[in-house]
Amino acid sequence: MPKPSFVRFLCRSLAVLDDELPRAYRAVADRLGRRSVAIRVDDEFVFVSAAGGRVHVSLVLAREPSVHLHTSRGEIRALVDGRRSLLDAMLEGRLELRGTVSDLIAFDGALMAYLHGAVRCPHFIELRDEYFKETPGRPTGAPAEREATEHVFRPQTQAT
Amino acid sequence: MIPSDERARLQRALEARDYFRRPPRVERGTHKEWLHFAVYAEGLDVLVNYSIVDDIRPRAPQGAELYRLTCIVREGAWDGDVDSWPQHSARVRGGSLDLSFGPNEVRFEGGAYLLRAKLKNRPIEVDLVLEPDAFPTEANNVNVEDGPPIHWMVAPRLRASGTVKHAGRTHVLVDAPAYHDHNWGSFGWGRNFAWEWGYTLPRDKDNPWTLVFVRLTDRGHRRMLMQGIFLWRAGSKERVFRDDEVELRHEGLLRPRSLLKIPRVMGLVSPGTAVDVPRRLTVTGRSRGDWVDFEFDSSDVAQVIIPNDDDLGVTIINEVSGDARVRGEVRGEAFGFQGRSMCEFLGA
Repeated sequence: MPKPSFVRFLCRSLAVLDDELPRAYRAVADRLGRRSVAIRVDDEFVFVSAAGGRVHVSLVLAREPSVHLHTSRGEIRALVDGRRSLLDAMLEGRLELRGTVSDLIAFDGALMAYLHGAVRCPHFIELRDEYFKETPGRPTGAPAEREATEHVFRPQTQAT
Repeated sequence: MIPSDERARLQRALEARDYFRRPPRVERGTHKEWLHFAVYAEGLDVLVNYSIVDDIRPRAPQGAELYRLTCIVREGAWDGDVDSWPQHSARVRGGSLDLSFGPNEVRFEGGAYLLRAKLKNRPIEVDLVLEPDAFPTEANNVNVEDGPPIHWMVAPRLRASGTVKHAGRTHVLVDAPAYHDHNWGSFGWGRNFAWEWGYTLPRDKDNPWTLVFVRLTDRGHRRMLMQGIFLWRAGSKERVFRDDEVELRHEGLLRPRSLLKIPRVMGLVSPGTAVDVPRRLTVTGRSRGDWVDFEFDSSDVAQVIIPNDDDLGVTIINEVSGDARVRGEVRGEAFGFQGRSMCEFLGA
């Protein structure tokens, strides 16, 4: 069984969104604008940006992030399972968001478009179950793992 | 409640009305259809809803449908979830009432409804037989603001027997009061309509009266499209109050300390505990000397949150349990009862 990988989940979920609900995918890209978001989940780092109506996921920093997000796989599960709200997670320090107010508002818009798309695509359920079922193991932020992950998912993410 | 010689006629009436429509699709469909069951026993409210909807995603294959079970149980507080099942796991026959997907099943057989439901991720399991005690009524071709009409069939009074398992406890129900309706039509969630609906059954099982009300409005609740109060006596429809014979009044707002939202992930896109639900709802009917007053005190709410079909918003169905009082007089016969009640308030 593969190790849990947020990067793998994110790349696959964006590919599903692009395929099954393109208007939600486009909304994510449009609302991100020219911002870059640095996401850290446990020991995984990933950078999300948008250009030309496409959302790009990269393990390499292309431009200075406007928004920083830091959380854990366990916290993502708590949010998806409805055990905690996004606001409570932030107030309790379980999810950290940093950025200017305008950048955070734009990120919230993109995140909401992503989530609204996710709840309309039945294939997200399989991706979610797979991500949460995977066995925790070696941190997936190790260099070898990063390289493999980027290689596997490059066609779907169209890295800049 | 129904004389034994009427039972066969009641069974035929239900078989003739309560069946899956599932029209053949000639283009990308928006057909939606669901069977709704509500049961209450002492300290326990149960809601089970089986739905079949067309898959409206742009690249969904022709004829693709989504199957969902919504099941919530209230023992002090609501618990439950919405489970989706793939089409290949489902078996359904149009023209009859016979549906199964995964461990979930609903059938009308031998004059009774057989319900089985089991949630994937919550400890809830329902296994009930519901025997109808009242003739059904239909509200066909109900106009909504911007689409084809929708249809509603009500079997307002049943007796539920069997088991409800929740969080390690098994509740054995014997002749518990129950309600059922069947809804179908082609419409998109998020369109310009909303509804308020509710029913109540007497705590005293010998009391012959049953009440159901419904109001359909535009999405902003500013324009009434249709409303009615339906009264049954001894299993037969006794009186209907319609449109300008009916008034609904809201008092106060329910402010729950916690709020179950299902499917649970929907709490991320529709956060918060503010609900557009009155603390008290009063529905009155007056016509040609007959009258009825229905008072409903909201106690607990759970939200079923549905993604809109045409935009990235949501439609919220507030499932509200509470206590109701009914008084009235029809053709010179005064009546009254108290009972458990479930109401739905649909909002944006």
